[in-house]
Amino acid sequence: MITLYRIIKFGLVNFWRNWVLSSASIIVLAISILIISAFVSFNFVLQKAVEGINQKVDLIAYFNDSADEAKISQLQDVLSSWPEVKQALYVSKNEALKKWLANAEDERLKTIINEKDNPLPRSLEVKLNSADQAQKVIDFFEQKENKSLISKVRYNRIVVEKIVSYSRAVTKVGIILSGIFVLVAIYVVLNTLRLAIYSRKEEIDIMKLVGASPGYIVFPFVVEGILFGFLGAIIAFILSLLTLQFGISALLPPEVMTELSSFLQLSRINLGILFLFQLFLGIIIGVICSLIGINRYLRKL
Amino acid sequence: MEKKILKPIVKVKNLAKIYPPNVNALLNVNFDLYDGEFVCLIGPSGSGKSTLIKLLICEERPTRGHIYVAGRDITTLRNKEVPYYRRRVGVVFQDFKLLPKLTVYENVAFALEVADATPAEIKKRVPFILELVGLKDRMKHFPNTLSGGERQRTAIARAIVNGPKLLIADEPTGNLDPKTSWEIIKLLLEINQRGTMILLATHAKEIVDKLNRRVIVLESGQVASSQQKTYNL
Ligand SMILES: Nc1ncnc2c1ncn2[C@@H]1O[C@H](COP(=O)(O)OP(=O)(O)OP(=O)(O)O)[C@@H](O)[C@H]1O
Ligand SMILES: [Mg+2]
Repeated sequence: MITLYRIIKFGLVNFWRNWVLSSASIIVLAISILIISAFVSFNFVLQKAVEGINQKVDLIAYFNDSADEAKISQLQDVLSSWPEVKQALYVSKNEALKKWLANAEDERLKTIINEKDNPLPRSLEVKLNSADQAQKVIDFFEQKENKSLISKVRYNRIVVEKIVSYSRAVTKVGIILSGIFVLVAIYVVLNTLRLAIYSRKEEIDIMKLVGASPGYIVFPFVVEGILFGFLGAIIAFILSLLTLQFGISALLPPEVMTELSSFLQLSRINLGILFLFQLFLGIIIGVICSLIGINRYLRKL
Repeated sequence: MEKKILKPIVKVKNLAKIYPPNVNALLNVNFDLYDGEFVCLIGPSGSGKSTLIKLLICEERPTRGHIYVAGRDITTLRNKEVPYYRRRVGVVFQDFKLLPKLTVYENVAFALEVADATPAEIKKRVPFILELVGLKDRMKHFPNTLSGGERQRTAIARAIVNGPKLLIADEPTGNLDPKTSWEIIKLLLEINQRGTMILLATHAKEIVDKLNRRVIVLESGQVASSQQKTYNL
């Protein structure tokens, strides 16, 4: 216990009395954490966006008013049995009206349509498991016996598919870049710490001559590494807050902002998680680097 | 010597150190150090004095031979055991080797801390030792604000704070003027009187002559003379 206290105190004293190199390490670490967490949160937001898109209806088939109700439900059954189809939901005229009334903003519009005079068509809302399967359903609707029932097929898939494939590519690139940045961060921090450790090579030798055990020599540096990680994470977190607050709205046009706002709110809620992630990242990098950096000096007697 | 000196505490046997590829720093060195002795180790530059001291404090491993300290062969200590051994042997160097970021008090306390002393012991022992070496009023100073003599006193305080049986000094006066040098030697004599064996490697002929203690002479890695009388170069 007393040893732990001494080691921590020694680490803190060293940290404080070497403040130039200490702050250099912290800044490098903060930038690394910031870049890595930017990629990770970007990936996270994209993932959520893709999930959100997948929740939406992919295809809607509108039926002619003359179409036979039995044939429609037959069509629904067939589609529902397909493994690619997540859900095929039948919307009756009444339901369509309810939806429309619920969505209509202008009160006058609501009076135009009523249950007796309802021009809204029946429809089948199809949700798919994956982006790639839209064409199969479209082909199915295009078949002769089905085509006669259907007045119009609306599908968001073309747009959606583009977004999905784009986001997949971005996710891949993001993961690779994050990995690269983890390595770059470790490399840079390691070298900064190595410099710090090298400048104290003599001190390490002196500590050994006085009879300090390896643990006594290593742990102050680990304490320093943890401190670097901690302070680096705090700086990175403050920078990410500023970026979220001002940076994004400055970079992106307002219409994109409104689209993104729900996702941004989501990340606001997750700010705590973001901070913990940055803390974890910083401390892990700090500790790994100080351990690697000090290792070579311990092998010598 | 008026004291009876019988028990060998340090026994050096057939010690050799060859630095690759073929620097024979030490060739078959043999001698004993007895309890309570103050021994001077002299010899021309490059004769192997520092190498011998490095072997004595386990900073290097010998190529051949053995060193027994209090019956234990320290050349076979495992790496893990070396720190424990070093806490029981004090060392002082020409360049002081103080921790620059620690004050005089902290430097001395450090040697106790690594040896797992309690805070109470440290509080008691450090001022006592600093008083002994005459640095009581320099406790809060950092090494770079001290004179050479004061730095060496700090290093000596650190070396003896754990109460070692043996204090080894490698040219402790090498960076000091004659007056300060002699003050340091007097301090070593005082420590010796309190019961610590001292091995002093030095170039300073006047000091060796004035001390009139046993002298071990190294010449090109071998003991040229190891009598118990004054040796004149
Ligand atoms: N790490 C080393 N690698 C190779 N050779 C070394 C090493 N250390 C010492 N030597 C050689 O060993 C010999 C003895 O050196 P040592 O430092 O022990 O001499 P010394 O008696 O202490 O000399 P001085 O009085 O100048 O301090 C010298 O020839 C030196 O060059
Ligand atoms: Mg020497």
